[in-house]
Amino acid sequence: MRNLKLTDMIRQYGILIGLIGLISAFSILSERFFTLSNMLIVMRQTSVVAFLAFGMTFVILGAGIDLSVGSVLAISGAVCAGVMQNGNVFFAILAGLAVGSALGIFNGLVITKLRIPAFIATLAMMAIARGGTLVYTGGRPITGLPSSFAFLGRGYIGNIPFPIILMLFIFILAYIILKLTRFGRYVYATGGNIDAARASGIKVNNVIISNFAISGLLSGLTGIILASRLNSAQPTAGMGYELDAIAAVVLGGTNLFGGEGELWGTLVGAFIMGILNNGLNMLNVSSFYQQVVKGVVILIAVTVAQSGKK
Amino acid sequence: MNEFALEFINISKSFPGVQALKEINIQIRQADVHAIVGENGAGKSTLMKIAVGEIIRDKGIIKIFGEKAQIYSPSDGYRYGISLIHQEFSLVSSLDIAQNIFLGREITRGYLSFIDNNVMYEKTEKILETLKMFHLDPHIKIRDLTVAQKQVVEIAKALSLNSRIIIMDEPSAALTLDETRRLFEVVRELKEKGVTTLFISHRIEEIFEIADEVSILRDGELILTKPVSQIDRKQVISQMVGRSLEFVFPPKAKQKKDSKIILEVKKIGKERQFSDISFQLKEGEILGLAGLVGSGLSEVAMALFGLNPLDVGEVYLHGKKVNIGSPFEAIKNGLALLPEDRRKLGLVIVRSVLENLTLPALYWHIARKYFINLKKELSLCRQVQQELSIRFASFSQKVESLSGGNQQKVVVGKWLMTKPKILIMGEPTRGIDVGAKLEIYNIINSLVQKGIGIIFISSEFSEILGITHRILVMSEGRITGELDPKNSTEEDILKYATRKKVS
Repeated sequence: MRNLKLTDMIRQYGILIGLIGLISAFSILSERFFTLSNMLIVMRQTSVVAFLAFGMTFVILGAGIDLSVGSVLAISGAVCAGVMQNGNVFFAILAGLAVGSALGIFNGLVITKLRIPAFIATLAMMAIARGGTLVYTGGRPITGLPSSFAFLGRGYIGNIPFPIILMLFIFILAYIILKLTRFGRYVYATGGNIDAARASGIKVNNVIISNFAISGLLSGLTGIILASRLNSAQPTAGMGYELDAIAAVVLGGTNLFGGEGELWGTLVGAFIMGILNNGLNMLNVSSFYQQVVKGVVILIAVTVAQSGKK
Repeated sequence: MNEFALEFINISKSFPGVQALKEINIQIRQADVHAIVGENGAGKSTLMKIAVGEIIRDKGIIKIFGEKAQIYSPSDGYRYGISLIHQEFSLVSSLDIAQNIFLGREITRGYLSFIDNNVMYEKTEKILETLKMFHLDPHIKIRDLTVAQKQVVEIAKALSLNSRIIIMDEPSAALTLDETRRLFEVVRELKEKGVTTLFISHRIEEIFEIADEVSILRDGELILTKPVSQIDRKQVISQMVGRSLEFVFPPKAKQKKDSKIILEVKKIGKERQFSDISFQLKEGEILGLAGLVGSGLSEVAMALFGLNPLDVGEVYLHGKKVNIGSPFEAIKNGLALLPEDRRKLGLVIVRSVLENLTLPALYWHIARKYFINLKKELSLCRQVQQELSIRFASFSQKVESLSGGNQQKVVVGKWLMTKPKILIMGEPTRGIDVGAKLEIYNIINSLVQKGIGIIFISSEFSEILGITHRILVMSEGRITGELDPKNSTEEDILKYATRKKVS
């Protein structure tokens, strides 16, 4: 009984069709849109959301949610910049990544050991990490970063911006983890039915903690890349980014209740968010209206995805 | 008024790929208690849902008190005074009894429609009084009620809607014997008031206790409708199954004389669940654990598998004392658990057949380091698929699209992959059809021939007699008797299963 119906097709590949439609529409409306240089700009913008969304994909596949990514990004970037001011660039980057991972692990521990719902635990972390960033920076940007640090956010390999290469690299790495490793299977199983996963001998708490650690690590990485791109760590960096990341994952077709979803969908979802930003800017749509458009696009996409499920 | 409260005339219904009901004709007399019996998948629930408008029939006529009824939605059902009480209750657990009974049609007063609590609680009290077998305060929250009490609330709700026909879907499934008896008292009272009751049941004994007439469904067809005085237990069963009973159970696998003890349980206990449980299991033995719902059987199974930590007692595997604190350790020690609640504990239904099959075995046999050996995984799955003849279109198919029998085989398969020495099976044939049952029995027999010891837990006594080598009966958390299935009957098991604690 193999019947690949139209509705199934829409559910599986609808988001890809949506992306192509969006690109076509903007290409017709603005001749500057579909050019190589602009596409590279779009992809560089996308990379920031994509890093967060890749981590968020692990968390959501495991039936969790991480609202703290924007704040964790900010504190990781700030710590990285702070350490860099009186030290070595390499150690500063490691410090930033360590802060992100540690906060992610903390999220995971709170959720699994204290049995606090992910929504609440990460909402608290969102406030704690943002406050921590303000305390650490005194509310002022940290500037005066060495020029060798600029490569991460502004450098090129050949003609391609480094963040794009890093995005593709992490995509492939995350894809391999999800599809080819035992841990990846455990993520899907835990999110699909945590009781059955536990009864199958899976240490589900470890899986959940790992998911949040991955999300924290990638948030830290995003904070560092942003600091490099802006040549400073901003205390308000990443505000509201958690919503873009969640939107990218959901646009990509991942089930918010866990267990079902694909990483390539998240990548496409992140691109849609990036293209919307870029294209609407090119059409001189006011940033006020842009928010409205983004919201409407999310509603439409999720509605289409659900109609395919029935 | 017409002699018949409810008539089904030529009712047919099909779902994609299945003819669920074929031209069903049943007439139910007013104030009768009418039992609908049949195996799982016979179409009982579908017919009842059609009666109240939860499922729309394809063809046929429903008459209520001789009048052709236009029932196309649940609200139509209410309008004609017909209510269905589901197995899963439709009560809101955070609200109290009165609030639930008047949910969505609260009694209000004044322009601002404030809820008139006085009238609501008074009315509820009155309805509950008529069900005096169960004394209930309308202010009690649903979550504080027992299953039987919830059922009574559902009945009260139906009465408050002035229902003249009440349908109950397996009302006794989760009740103790005592509660069932009291529920039947309520049904008798309803009968005296002229209310017509239909009930679906799996327990044949109940039909003879309470029903006036019985209708037997098999594979979507009505086999017969008869007064219970004109039929006996054996006939009901053979008509339900469609063949004589002896045929259902394959011959038991022979036990070797010198087989070793592989599991020994000494005086294990857990507060409020079970106590003083001791038994031994030999290799190649099928040990039956029988008991009614709530006797502590599934709690013991969960405890052995590390899902329900023990308070006291010792467990020995192959003569060595073990302390199993998690399913991971249980698997490591060669244990496997086929859980009673397949969908909750056995399967990740949104994932594929392949992923479900290899989930517990991944760590031990397929992906010891980090990466999954996809080739090995697929070939092991093929092997198990053939061994158990699991039927599905592709390994990437989601488990939720398989039939109950094939789902159960996937659960069996996933545990075989861990190469267990001891397999604990909780109600392995619940909710699957006769053909698949027979296959499961055959699988069990082939497993014990390989030396695997099986603990077979079931509340279906005929099954436990037909399949096991030795039976332990539990009641109220204690072992009350040991029986040899060769010279025991279902009545013997029932006697021990209902034995109360002597104190």
